[in-house]
Amino acid sequence: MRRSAADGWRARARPCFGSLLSIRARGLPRAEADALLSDAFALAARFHDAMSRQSAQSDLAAIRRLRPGERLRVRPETSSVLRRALEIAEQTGGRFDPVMPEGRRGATWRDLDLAPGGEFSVRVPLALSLDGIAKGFAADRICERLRDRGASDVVVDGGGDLALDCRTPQRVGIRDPRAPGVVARVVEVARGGVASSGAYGGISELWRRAGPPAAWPRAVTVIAPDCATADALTKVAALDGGGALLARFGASEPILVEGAA
Amino acid sequence: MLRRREFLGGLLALLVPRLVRAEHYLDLDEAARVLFPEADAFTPAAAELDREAQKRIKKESGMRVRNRRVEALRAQRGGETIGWIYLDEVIGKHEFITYALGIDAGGAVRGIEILDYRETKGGAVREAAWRAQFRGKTGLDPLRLGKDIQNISGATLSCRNLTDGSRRLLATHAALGR
Repeated sequence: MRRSAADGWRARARPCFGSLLSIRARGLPRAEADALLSDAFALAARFHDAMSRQSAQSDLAAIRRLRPGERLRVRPETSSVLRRALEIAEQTGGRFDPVMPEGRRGATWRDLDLAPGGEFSVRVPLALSLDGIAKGFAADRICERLRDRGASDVVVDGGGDLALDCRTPQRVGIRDPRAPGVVARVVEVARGGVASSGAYGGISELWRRAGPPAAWPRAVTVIAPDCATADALTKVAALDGGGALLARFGASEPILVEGAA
Repeated sequence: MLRRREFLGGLLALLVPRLVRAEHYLDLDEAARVLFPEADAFTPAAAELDREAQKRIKKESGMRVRNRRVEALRAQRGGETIGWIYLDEVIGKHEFITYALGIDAGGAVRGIEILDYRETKGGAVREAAWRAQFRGKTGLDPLRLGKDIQNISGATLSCRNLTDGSRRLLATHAALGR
């Protein structure tokens, strides 16, 4: 299918965050559209480089090596995401926790300290995972930047987690993890984030944290005011359904794809 | 009784993955301009890989050459070569991706731009059996991905194929002596 230029959307995609990052925008100044989109990808790459679990040069690698009493100045991108992650951890009573269970040794989000200037310290050795929330945070920032630069509508798709800032509601299909190529549900969103966690590509981070599901949903989708929050809340929703807790963040009731793993 | 042609056609339909979603992002010349915005000219630079080159690429990248013909463009500025843009395709479990890899004059990767992303349904037979459970259940009939739903939540793609393809292209670039 060839995208029609007449509908005004300009779309580009690059690999990022271990998946495909696509950015669609409408209304950008024609002469600057490519440069603005390239700039947006560069922004995403900075977030990825700062918080990649695979890279030895990332802030997450440095945090893994950190010992109690040591201080580490993290990049501004990491500081922003960590700050948001800690806010959500506190507001959900730790149901969302960026500390990885396998590195935990009893550590939780309460063992992290992020000072206002971006200096980071730990009370016990630990490892963090910020994959989804970092991706969502970057997607949200890209939306903001492109809107600031004149875009009337922006949709950022970071490997299936979406940030939208559009004048009118856009149809979003929620993929069914049991059948590739099939959509389980369609929702309409003009502004906000849509994130899904679950059995989309094998063992999910959700299951890694708390074991294989017995009565868990196969997939959880949350619609929230922004993509970073939506991603964090998919973990909360899978644990105990969400309900009033998700409503506190302005998020919708989670959409569940049920069934045995 | 089915005629042979109908039987084979039906069998083929079951085996061949059907395209359910296709996104076109860029043409090759558009990708070239994005990867090398400072260039003032792009010229064809296709090449054929001989046996020695194929062996070298396999050894350096660990990947077999699938196509002897290499499609590429040369990016120039003021008559000087500033880089190369290679066209390639990778095939994943459910997707085909056509992409362009930019390599600068020093041999470093300038960037990757996706040209086309095509998603297939893959297990057509499996899906028919799965869909059967929805018959008669109002409101639960699953929709198919299609051109009227541009945005999809729920990831399936890993970038590993693109990473592997890029590694093969870098080895190809070196084997061509560029």
